[in-house]
Amino acid sequence: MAEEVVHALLLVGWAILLAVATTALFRRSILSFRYWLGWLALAVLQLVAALAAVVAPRSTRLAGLNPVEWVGVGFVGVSLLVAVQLSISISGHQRALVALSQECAELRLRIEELESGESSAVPGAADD
Amino acid sequence: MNKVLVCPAWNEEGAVGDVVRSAVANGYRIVVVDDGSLDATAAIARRCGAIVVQHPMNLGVGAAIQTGFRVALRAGADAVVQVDADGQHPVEQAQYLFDALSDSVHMAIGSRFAENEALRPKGMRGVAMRRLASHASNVAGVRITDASSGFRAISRPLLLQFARRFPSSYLGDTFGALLLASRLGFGVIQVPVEMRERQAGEPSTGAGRSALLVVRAIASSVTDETRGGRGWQKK
Repeated sequence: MAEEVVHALLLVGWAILLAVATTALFRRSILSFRYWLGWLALAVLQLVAALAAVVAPRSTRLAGLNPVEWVGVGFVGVSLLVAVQLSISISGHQRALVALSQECAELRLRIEELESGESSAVPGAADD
Repeated sequence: MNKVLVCPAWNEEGAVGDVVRSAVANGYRIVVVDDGSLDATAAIARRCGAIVVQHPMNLGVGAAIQTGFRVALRAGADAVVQVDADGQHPVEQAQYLFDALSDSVHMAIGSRFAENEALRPKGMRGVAMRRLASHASNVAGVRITDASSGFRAISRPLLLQFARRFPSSYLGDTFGALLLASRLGFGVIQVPVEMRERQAGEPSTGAGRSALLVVRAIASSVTDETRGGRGWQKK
């Protein structure tokens, strides 16, 4: 079997695996729509590269890299972008978690006050 | 002036009772923010007379202090003094910090080293603390010898801003808040105080981490959070 065909099969295999896995995660609501779409786009990119590897193997060699290698480079790049996006997302969630927990703590204190019939959190604070 | 003490506490059942009793004996109301403790910190503080607000999980000292500021403000506080729950900050000295506040001074930092540099820790930790103090002095335009001191008084105009938003980065509650207050145009001074050794519990940072302290603190000082960028109001 020609080297290009092996490359193409490899790419198609990875693309299918990626698409099936991420779709399954999305259907179980483990993966959000935005991330699912991102991974699907990557799978489509792999299929396009696979097609290019078979149809025009020579013309698709760029900067000494064949389509499989280019997909590898693209994969690393996209993965890094996804990692940065996830970091931003997690940081935002951390901030939201802190804010929610603080609100929760204050509400709990307020409920305790209401249940005990107090009107203020700090009655009779020291005065000059 | 309505004065309130704010005390963030995390697993400090061994010392928080003495801190609260001391506050009550000195005529202060004290807000203890239990930051997700797994021990009896909240129960002991409540039994000793503190207003106790409990985070459902550990959020860090910055968030605990911010919650304390909000509760204090809701009670009409004009000024607060932060005290540690481990007993390091003698409550009877809080008055010196309150007294230092004025129309032009909005943050008074209690300094262990203002009158005696020899008390400064030796080795890497001492070098780190000196570096932070030097940086803080440059930004604040006044002599600061204990930039990471958590024993400090804050008056209402600054308190209102901190209740809304408070630096959450490394040392943000001490070093970061000091830089931010200065950059926003609030008056900062230091006041000589005495501090004690921890009465109980474990210190949150060991000496081995001191080398990283300066790098992390200085790095956090260039963020919007401590530069007074978007969302902050200059005085």
